[in-house]
Amino acid sequence: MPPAVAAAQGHGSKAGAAAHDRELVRRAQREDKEAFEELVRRHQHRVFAVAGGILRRREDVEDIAQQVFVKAYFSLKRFDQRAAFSTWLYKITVNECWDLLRKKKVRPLVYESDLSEEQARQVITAGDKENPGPDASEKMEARERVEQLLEGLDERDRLMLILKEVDGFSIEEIAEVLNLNGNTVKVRLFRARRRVVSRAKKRVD
Amino acid sequence: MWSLLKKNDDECGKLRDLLEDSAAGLPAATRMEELSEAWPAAQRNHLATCGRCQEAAQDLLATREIFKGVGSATGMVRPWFSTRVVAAIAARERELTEAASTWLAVPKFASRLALASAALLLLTSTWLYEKPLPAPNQQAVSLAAQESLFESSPPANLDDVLVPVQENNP
Repeated sequence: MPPAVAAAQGHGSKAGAAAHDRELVRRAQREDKEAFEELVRRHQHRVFAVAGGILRRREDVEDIAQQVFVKAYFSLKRFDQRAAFSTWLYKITVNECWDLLRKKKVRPLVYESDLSEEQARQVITAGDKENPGPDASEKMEARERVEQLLEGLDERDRLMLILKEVDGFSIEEIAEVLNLNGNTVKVRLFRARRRVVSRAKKRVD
Repeated sequence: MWSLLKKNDDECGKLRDLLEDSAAGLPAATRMEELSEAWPAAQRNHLATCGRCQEAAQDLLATREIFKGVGSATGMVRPWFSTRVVAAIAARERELTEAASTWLAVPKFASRLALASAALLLLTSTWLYEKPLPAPNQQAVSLAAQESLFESSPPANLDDVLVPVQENNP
């Protein structure tokens, strides 16, 4: 399928999803909880991905995701739908995560050694059902290695890389999450990749 | 010279866009040739000759390799998460309603509270005003008078006391 056709199809389904979101938001603004629950179900994976890209600790990610949706519900009446619901929601997510980091003054990404055995296993085996692949110990090793390579990278660049390489976000979606221009995202992604790769090469040498 | 550099930059920009799109469309690609297979000849030629674009493509593939096997946080979503969110919203709403109802009761009872306070104030002040003074205890009064006699009128001149003492004991 030519990229243009695929892009048009993607755009079409995206537009449809956005229209459905708008309808659900309108209903939720009239305090329809079922509509809001539907919105939660539609966006929870992406919210988890963004929060997980910044925080990583399962408990923090889950708590922040819940906090984001509760905050969104109580602010929904002021949301005028000029932006997409997803954009608005991702902004809340990023702000909540960075607020939490400021409050807790913790490292954004924790190494597996910081987690209890049970927590580490939960994080590592998360998503196994959907993406059967390397086993838990390989995943743990991969995560350890990646997190060490990401250390020292700018917060945004780190999040961009995780969203792109781990969660499969598109450039437009990353731009939406970080409130940046698409071209800026591309340039920063290339630079971040350069740094990670050169760091990996140094480690090998 | 400037226009040549600018043209080159534009081409690099276009190629990197193409690279991103191809990489998104081919998540399993591990070689540059796989990514550029469907590209127009002009872009493939550019990739073959431009060192910066080659480096960008290699970095993209190498990063992909580095991130291979890292699990996404989306796997952390539990099936009951949306129910948990709705329950949290309901709990918060209850809290807000209770807090609001407490404050709503204040203006409702404010007039009664003001009347009761005024009546209480009036009664207390009347009672205090009308309260008879306690009759003083006679013994206590005389003792107090004696004490005050000694304390309040010490001899003006100590010589007055000393002279009679001296007279009695020559």
